[in-house]
Amino acid sequence: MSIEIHNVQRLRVVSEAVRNVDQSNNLASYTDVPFREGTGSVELTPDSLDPQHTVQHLDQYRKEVLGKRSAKLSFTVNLAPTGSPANATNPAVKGALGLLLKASMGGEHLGQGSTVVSATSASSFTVTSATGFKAGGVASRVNAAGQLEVREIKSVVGSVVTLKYAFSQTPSASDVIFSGATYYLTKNPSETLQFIIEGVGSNDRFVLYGGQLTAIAVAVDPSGAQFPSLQFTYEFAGYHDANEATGTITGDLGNATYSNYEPVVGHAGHLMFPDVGDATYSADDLVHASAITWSPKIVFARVTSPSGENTVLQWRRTRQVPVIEGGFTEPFQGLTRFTERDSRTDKACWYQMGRTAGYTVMLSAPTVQVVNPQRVADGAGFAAQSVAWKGRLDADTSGSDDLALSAFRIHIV
Amino acid sequence: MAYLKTAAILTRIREVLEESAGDLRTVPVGRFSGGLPEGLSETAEEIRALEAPRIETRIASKRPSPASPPVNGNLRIYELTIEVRVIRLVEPLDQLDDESRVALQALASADGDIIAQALNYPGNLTQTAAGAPTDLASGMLVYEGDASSVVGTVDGGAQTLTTVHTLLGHAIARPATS
Repeated sequence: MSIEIHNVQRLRVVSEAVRNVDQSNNLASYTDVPFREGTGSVELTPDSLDPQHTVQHLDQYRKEVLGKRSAKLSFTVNLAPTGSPANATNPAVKGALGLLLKASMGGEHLGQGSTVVSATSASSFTVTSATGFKAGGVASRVNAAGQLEVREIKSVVGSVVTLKYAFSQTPSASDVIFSGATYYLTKNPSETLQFIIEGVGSNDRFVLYGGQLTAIAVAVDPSGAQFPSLQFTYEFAGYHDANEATGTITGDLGNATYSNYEPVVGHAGHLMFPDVGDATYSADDLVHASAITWSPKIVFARVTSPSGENTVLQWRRTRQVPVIEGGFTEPFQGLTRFTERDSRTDKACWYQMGRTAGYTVMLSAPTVQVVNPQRVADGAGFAAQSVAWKGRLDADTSGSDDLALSAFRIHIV
Repeated sequence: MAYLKTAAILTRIREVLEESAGDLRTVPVGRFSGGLPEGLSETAEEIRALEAPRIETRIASKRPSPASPPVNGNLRIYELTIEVRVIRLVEPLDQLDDESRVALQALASADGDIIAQALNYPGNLTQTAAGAPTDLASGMLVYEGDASSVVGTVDGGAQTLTTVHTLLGHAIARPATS
């Protein structure tokens, strides 16, 4: 008997080519997931049903009958960029995180940057090629201090890119405008995911198939002490153990290769909270938050059928409103947030983490409403206010596709 | 495969603190000088501090980051505790005159903000002047605090005001997988 260390694990994922079909006979199709050590937990559940026939002894029970299978997996991944900037010569790339986000949010735009030909303002400029930019996507520029400024795109008309919110300076000719990978919500994502979770033991291997997201949690730390992260919870139509898998997944635990994965700390960034439709840059729009929360609600439910896999025919994203909400705690500086609440002002909430192309992530709730500002003491005992907001569809893009409308986006720049 | 780039990390910190390197929020030229090995006598430190405030950096401790993927992958993240020690000379005038002493203590305390701003600025620690990458997440450290004390006695002549600044770094190693 050998005793193994639990935290030595490997997790691989693939977007299923055919729903519910075990792909473990093609291990090369899987991507290693750089989940945080010790955060992976799996539940393997064959239903066990009591047949309930009567018995003749006080203490007798009945042998239960095994029913349908299901599984559940949760793990935490750092919200990490790829390390590869989407500049004028290279498109955005994606790693395991992008694969997970694409499957569960539904939309992915892998943009490519360009260079400035001329600029009419700090929010509108002509680029050499605008094919890599789309309304709802991102355009980013390095400012005079060497810091990347990430902005969402309002419109792209020909080679003219117009931002929702201006850079701090007007771009100059030949400036590189970076694009990025944008993950956005679509109405009915149809992908399912399949994971292989492996421990050191040769048989400590399970294929979880036909899965979709049932919970997601975002954790950010503006102090920089911790990495920003996403906790994913998936449920599955079924699972195979090591003996049942179609491929050979027993043997020595192979080493994982994490690609396009460069963790950054949340300290290096800023939180912007301008009015929707006001493209003028102002340092007043930067929020000096000591605490920040983001709470997306991306939840899939089973569509059941007797002919489904363990009764699961498919997964369907459900209506959860608001699909994105969040909040922050900032020093009390006046009644602005209370006024915004009373006036029902449309705001945009953008939290950029990172200051370098290829090493930056931005969370976006492009149209939100301030609800429930409260005077509080912050963690250091300063006079502060907590500001909660709730998000809606993007009201500041000139487009009607899912990317342009998405109420929540994750940009990896 | 690559191990933690500890040499590049320490070299870059020295460049930023002693040579005013960096993109922004650089240390004022001449603020600090090196030449402060551990184990010097009080007198030796006083003599060195007489020339200029002295500074020395070391990696005090290292531990696996809770954000690190499992050990069998090609990436590991470590949390580094970096200690930056600064000594300033407490001259007889500082010992006798309150205003001089206030000015000295203010300088020593301000050192913390100067060090924090330079080392906390994202990108300042991304690579050395020679181009060697440090593999510090976001190319920066996180300032955690400082502790200050006066070493030596007034009766013994000059003293040193020693401040240890503590910072947190997230460093990435890339272990072999084949």
